[in-house]
Amino acid sequence: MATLNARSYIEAKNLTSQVDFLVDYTKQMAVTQGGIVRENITAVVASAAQLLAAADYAKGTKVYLKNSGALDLFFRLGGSGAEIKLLPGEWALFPWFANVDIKVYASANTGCLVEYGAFQ
Amino acid sequence: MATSVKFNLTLSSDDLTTDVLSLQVNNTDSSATKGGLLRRRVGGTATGTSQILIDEDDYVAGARVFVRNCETSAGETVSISLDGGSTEHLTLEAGEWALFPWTASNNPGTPADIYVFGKTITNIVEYGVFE
Repeated sequence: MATLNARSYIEAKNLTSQVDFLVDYTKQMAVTQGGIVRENITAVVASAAQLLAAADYAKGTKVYLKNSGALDLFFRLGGSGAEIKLLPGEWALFPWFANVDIKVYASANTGCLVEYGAFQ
Repeated sequence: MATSVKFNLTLSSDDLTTDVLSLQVNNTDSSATKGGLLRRRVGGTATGTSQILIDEDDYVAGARVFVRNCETSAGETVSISLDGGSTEHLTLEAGEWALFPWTASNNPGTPADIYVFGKTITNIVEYGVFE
């Protein structure tokens, strides 16, 4: 059993009447699988590619996504509904229910690097 | 004064893989005009009784969503649906959070409101949308 340490913080200056607005959360999680990899994505909206198969993971798997390319990337959980949209350089982190696959596509088919990891 | 919202993430592990995992990523939004944090009861305990947390019509694609389960007892989960409450997509254990840029109303006709429900109807969720 290994330990994954996660920390997120949000600092907002001049957004509200509060002088500074800071959220800072940390969590230690016991994990046995995971790592960070990069892949090149050429799929577009009509043929989104499978990034993570639900069958391979358990409820609560922590998913990290980052757009390491120059196009927009979209991540679809299931067949319909809202998607996660990452502009170049943007990232996301969420605990995944892992009942539907996570698919990915880019705004063009010229290739875009996605960096991702799934920890459970 | 200029607005600046910084989103930061660190992931690290000394013993998961042969190489030490040490990752730090940061994003800064210098054009945000909306945002802040709220806490509320989830109000439902299953997809069928889930409540709207964030309305897609109020935001544009790329708005960043932060959601955190404020409970402290194991098993008191808070769940998020991205398809209008039909499917559970994210499951947050006590103290866990999620942060992701969301397409909001980018796909007209597709239900994209963010819904929430909990293990217990009184579970507290903290959330914010920044755009």
